[in-house]
Amino acid sequence: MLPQDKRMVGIIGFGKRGILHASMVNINPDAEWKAVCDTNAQLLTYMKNFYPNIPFFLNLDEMLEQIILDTIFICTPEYTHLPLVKKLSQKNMNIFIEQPLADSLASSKKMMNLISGKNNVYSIGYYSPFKVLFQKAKGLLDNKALDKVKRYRASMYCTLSQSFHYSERTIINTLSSFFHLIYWLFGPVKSLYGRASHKLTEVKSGISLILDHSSGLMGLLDFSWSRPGYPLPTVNISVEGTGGTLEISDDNLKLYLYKKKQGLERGWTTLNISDIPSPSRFFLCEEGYYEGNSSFIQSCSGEKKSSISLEEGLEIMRMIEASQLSIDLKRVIFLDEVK
Amino acid sequence: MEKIDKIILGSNAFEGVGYLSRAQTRHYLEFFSKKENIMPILEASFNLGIKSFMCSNNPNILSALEDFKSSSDLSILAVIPNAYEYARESTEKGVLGMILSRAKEIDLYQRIRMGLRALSKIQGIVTKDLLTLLTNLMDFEMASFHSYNVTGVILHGQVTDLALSSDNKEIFDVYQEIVRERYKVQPILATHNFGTLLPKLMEWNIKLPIMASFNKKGFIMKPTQEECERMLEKTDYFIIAKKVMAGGRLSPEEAFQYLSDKNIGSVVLGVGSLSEAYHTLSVAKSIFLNP
Repeated sequence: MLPQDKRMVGIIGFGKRGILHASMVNINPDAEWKAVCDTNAQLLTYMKNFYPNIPFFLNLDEMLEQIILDTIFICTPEYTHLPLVKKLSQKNMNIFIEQPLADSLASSKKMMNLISGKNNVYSIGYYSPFKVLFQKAKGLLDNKALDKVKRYRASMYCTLSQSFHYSERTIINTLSSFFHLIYWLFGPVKSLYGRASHKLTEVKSGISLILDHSSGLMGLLDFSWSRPGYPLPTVNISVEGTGGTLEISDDNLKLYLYKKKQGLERGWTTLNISDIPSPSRFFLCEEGYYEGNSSFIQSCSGEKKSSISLEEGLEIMRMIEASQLSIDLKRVIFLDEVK
Repeated sequence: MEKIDKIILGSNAFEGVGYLSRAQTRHYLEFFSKKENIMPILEASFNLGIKSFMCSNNPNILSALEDFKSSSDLSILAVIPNAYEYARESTEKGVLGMILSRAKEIDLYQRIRMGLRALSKIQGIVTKDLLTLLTNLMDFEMASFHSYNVTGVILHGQVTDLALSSDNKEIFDVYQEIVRERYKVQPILATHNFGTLLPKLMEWNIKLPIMASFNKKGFIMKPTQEECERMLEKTDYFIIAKKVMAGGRLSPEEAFQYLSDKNIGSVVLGVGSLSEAYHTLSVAKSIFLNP
């Protein structure tokens, strides 16, 4: 591959996600990591040990002036996303934004207006669609293995509140990722009704929701960030259809069919994560990250590999805002009333 | 190279790390939060002749080791840094931010609690660069094992793979120098990306034992099972196989049969209960020690 065919990548924000993306770009033959920008001077000094040949910038303008870049990963807190996209969209950059899209629905909409009509690739960092087990589940649902899906129950539990350092951002990030999995599996939401024991961002709390999807499907969601014993966010989804049921978790799929269909046996079929070959050629931190990162790079190179669009990120912001509104107003909220 | 035993008892389960399911992880976290549940497994393993134990400085494990009467006869392979703990504690600072914060706290802690002894060990304390801080962190974690017979230090897979992707030979040089010069033991690298790490180490002329996933299912064998197996067959590096039961999806019998004709120096075996310890380790002995 000629150097000019490679994506010239800059990373903004060098926390956990920034380091991960930099590492994954570094081993991707289709991309070259050229620079990093972070306002934390101390961190940059430390990181020079790890990446002595990568220029570090405390000032974004300087990075953009001094380094030729065509692709940017934004890995900073969400309140910075809108101003960063505003600046970068003027320079015709391909942009990857770590989720959630922005700090509010209003900011997200402004961002979408900024990039409207541009020919660059824009993507957001949701990784569930790149996990093989969830892909398998999505395939079963899309191929109507359960015939007509009637309803589902989904939960995500984690133990954020045991950490002294957790923040509102951590909760919203986790919720955003859960909402995206639901949206990706079951499609757009028409309305929702939510209840929470405390405010959405309090330490010991959780949220329960009833979702009505545009397809007519109904779902019950339970999300708690204060359940002991869940060091990793843990997902369980139980889907009921006219032709059978499907249990989806982070570890396995359990399909029960009332009759033989599409080569699948009547009764139980269990598929464990270790039974499904992973296409990923590099493993860093967690399954899905490398695939999400390389999918975006391939999209930027014009290859036919889809990455997650910012429109999906906007829809998730709408779901988060609607949930908060429903909890506050104690009534059903239609997503099209969330402006 | 220091001799490494053929069979090594792993500690993932004791640290609440499981690959079978999140439910299993929760069970391990709860069950092994009591040292009374760790000790019988250490004892059973020791009585079966398994004298090597790989672990990080997890408080429950250290507490069990303290009470285990034969702990001084164990050969400890220390895994550093204790990445799972940092991952659990980390927040928006990220794992690196957490490690850096911890390393800086350790400076202070060591100065106050360990006095001159620690200070004399930390040569570069005035130059607060990353490697110095990581050295401090290694010192701190290694201090937990001071009363045991540590024969090797394993760089945690997440750190190895991060360093690998940074394509920076110096990190590996510094790591092995610290382990050899400071702790006088065998440096070992853990990885999830054997097929990428091995060629890179060969290119850099760094020869260290590598601990990597090898199992019949190809579970976390990167870039692919075939490529890893091909490289394994030809290499003269000492390879320690981990995740040999594919995170609990394979029985010991089928898992070890796959490894029996492979170019494997050692295997790390994690067990989650006393009965599992007797079964797994007995089968391992019959295949690896008395083939």
